[in-house]
Amino acid sequence: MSMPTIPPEPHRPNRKEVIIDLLESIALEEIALSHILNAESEKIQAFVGECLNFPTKPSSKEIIKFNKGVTQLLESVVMKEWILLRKLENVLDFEDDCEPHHKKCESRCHCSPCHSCHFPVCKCRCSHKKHKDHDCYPGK
Amino acid sequence: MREVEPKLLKPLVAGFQLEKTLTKYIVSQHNFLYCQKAADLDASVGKTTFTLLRQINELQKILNQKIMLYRDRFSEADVYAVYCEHPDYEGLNDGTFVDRIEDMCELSTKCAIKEWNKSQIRNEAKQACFLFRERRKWLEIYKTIHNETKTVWLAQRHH
Repeated sequence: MSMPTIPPEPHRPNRKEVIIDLLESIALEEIALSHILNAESEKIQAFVGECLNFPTKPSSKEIIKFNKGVTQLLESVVMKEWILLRKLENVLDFEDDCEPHHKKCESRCHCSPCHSCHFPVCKCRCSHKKHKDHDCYPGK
Repeated sequence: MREVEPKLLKPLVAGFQLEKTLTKYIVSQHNFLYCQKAADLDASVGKTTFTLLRQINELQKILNQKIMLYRDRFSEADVYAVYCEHPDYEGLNDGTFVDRIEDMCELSTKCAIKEWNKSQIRNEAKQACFLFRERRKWLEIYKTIHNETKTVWLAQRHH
């Protein structure tokens, strides 16, 4: 199996845009879950009836079956929420990883970050061979 | 703390919406449980109440963890701004949540179910109320910064 290829695109989002997109995706998924939960509560309300008298006159077996379905849905929502929480944690950690760049770049040298230690190449102390050739590498 | 991009707080706002819907869901489930009790489905009421409370607690733990994640990463003023922009979140404190949970617990004690099952339900109900109050307490803490110069304009804008 070959490696996946990224199709060419005129605009590639930068790191910050990617983080915002990911956070927005989490928010949208959560709003979708809210809509599902809202629909489920309306479904229960319709089944029970406004006067709490089961307007469709279901049998005990039907009530238990309906109850099971409702419980299963909440379980799925909880599971999905766990996944979203992990995703949020990862995205926020990823966002934190960006921080040292800005802090270290106070000298405004416009150096690109090192691929191995992620610090601007002028501050980079790692043994990445190609960075040693950089103009503002401190050892030069 | 750093300058915050408002979009970074979107998942927190979505969490408020989920909590609002969760309260509505609990009200519906509460009514359903009453109807089941009226239909003499005691065993089903006991089983459902326990499962429901356990799942609500799981969901509450997730909501609390999310607030904690933001609390650690963003300033109090930023999180307070989110609360200010969503006054509907304030409406969740009308007691519906805790009242319904306590009612569900009360209902289960009237059902013909085993004693250990009732005890499990009581424990889950206690935890549900504790987790909810914990979240409200955090909101109160944010409110204490209401009169600080850097946040007072937010309150004036939204109230």
